[in-house]
Amino acid sequence: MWTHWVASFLLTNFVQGALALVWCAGLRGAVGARSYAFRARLLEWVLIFPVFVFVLQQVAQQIFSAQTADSFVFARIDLWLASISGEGHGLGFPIKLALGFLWTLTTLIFVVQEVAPLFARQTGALQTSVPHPRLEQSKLRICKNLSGVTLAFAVRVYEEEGLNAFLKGLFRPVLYVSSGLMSKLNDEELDAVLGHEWAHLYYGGPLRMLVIWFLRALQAANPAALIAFRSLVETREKACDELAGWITKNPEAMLSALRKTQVADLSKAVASGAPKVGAREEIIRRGEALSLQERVAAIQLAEFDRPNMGLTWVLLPMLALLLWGIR
Amino acid sequence: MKIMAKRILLSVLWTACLGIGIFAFDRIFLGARETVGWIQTSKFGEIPPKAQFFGVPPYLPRFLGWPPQRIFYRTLPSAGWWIELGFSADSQKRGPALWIGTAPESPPAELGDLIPCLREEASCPKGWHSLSVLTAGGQKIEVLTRLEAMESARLIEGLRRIQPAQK
Repeated sequence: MWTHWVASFLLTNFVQGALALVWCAGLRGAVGARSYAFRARLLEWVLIFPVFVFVLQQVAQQIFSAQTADSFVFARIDLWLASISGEGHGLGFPIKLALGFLWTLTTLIFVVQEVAPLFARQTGALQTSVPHPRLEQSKLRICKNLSGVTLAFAVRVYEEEGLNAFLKGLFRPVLYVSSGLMSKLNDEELDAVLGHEWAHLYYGGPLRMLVIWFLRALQAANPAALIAFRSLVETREKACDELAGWITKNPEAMLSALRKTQVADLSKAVASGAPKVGAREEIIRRGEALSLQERVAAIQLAEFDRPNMGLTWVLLPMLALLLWGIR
Repeated sequence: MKIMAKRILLSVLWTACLGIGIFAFDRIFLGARETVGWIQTSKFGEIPPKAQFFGVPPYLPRFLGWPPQRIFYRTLPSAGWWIELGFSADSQKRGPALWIGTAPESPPAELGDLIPCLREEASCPKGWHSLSVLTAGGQKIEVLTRLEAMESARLIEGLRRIQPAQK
C-alpha cells in the first residue's frame, strides 16, 4: 500500500511541479518583464505549492467523501498510475523505466549539487574573523540610505585571499567579508556588497532559504524542482543586486564590484594553470564565472526600485487552483 | 490601474489555458469516464466488459434473493467484480448469505469483516467460510458463504462449469 502512496506522490509531484514551472514561465509573457524579486517569488511557489497542495489533498481525502474529493479534477493521477502499471498494453514498462531513470538521476544530482557542498564547506577561517572599521562605516552609510532602518546583522572580516562575502547564521546572521575582497573594492563598491547582503535578509535570509531547501529535499526526485531551485538561487542573486542598486542609489558600484570579482576570478584561473586544476574545481569555477557573467548582464537591465509584489497575491490562488486539479 | 487589470486578465487566461490543456490531455488519452477502484451499481448492464463479469451464476439455491443486493465492479487498476446475495423475503434467515467475486487482494471495503476471511479461513466471522474455484474459462472466483456445506458445494460446481466469455 505504501508503495502505491509513494508512486502517487512522485507522479503527482512531478506533474504539479512541471505544470507550475510552465505556468511560471508563461506568466512572464502574460504580465510583462517584472523585477527579479517578482520572478524569485514565483519560483519559490513552484517549490512550495506542490508539497503544500499534496498535503491538503491528502487531508481533504480523509475528511470529505470520495465524491467530493473527486470533483474539480483536471488530471486523474491514480488513473495515470494505473495506466502505466496496467497490463494489456506495451507502454507500461518503457514509461516506468524512463520515469525510474529520470527520478534516480534527479535524486543523484540533488545529492551532488545540494547536499555534498553542505559538508564540504570550510568554516575554520571564520573563527578568527574580526570587526573592521571600513565595514562599520559602510554599514552606517547604508543605514542612512535606508532612512534609519538598522542592518540587523554583524559584519566581520576574515582572512582569505579569495573574493568572498556571505551571510552565515539562521537567527542572528553575520556577514563575513574576505580580506581579499576588502582590499579589492573601494568604499562605494563595498557599500554595494553590503547592500546586496542586506537585500538577502530583506528577502528572508538564510532561514527562508533553509525552508525552501527542505522543501526541495522533499522533492529530490522531481526534475521540475531541480530546475526551479537552481533558477531560484540565480534569480535571488539578481534580485539582491537589483535591490542593492536601489538602496545605494549607485547601481554602477554594484556593476563595478561584480566586474572586479569576474576579472579576479579569470586571472586566478589563468594563474593556476589548467593542468593543475581538478575537474571538480574547474566545473565549480566555470559555474561561478557563468553566474557572475549573467549577473553583470542582468544588472544592466534591472529596475532599481523597491519591488512591487502586489500582483503576486492575485496570482497565488490561480496557481493553487491549477495544482489542486492534479490528483 | 488599466495595465494591472490587463495583466490580471492575461494571467487568468494563461492559467485557464493550462488547466484546459491538461484536462484535454487526460480525457483524450485516458477516456472520460474511467475511474480507478470499485464502483457500486444496481444494474448488470452498467458493468463494462473490461470488468470480466460472467453474468448469472449457473446454480443458486431457491432461498436466495435475486438480483444481488449490492454489485461492485472495477476496470482499473485491474479488472474485478463482487456481488452480494441475501436470503429471499420468504426465507426464515435474514442478512447477507453470500459474496461472489474476483480480485481478492483488494476487495471492496463494503465486505467489511469478511476481508480477512479471504486471506485466512481462521479469520472468518462465525458461520462464514471462504472458498475459491477456477472456472472452465480460467477465471479464479472467490466465494464467501454462510450457506450449508451441500448448497455451497453445488454453487461451486456450477461456477466451475462457466465457459470463457464469447468475444
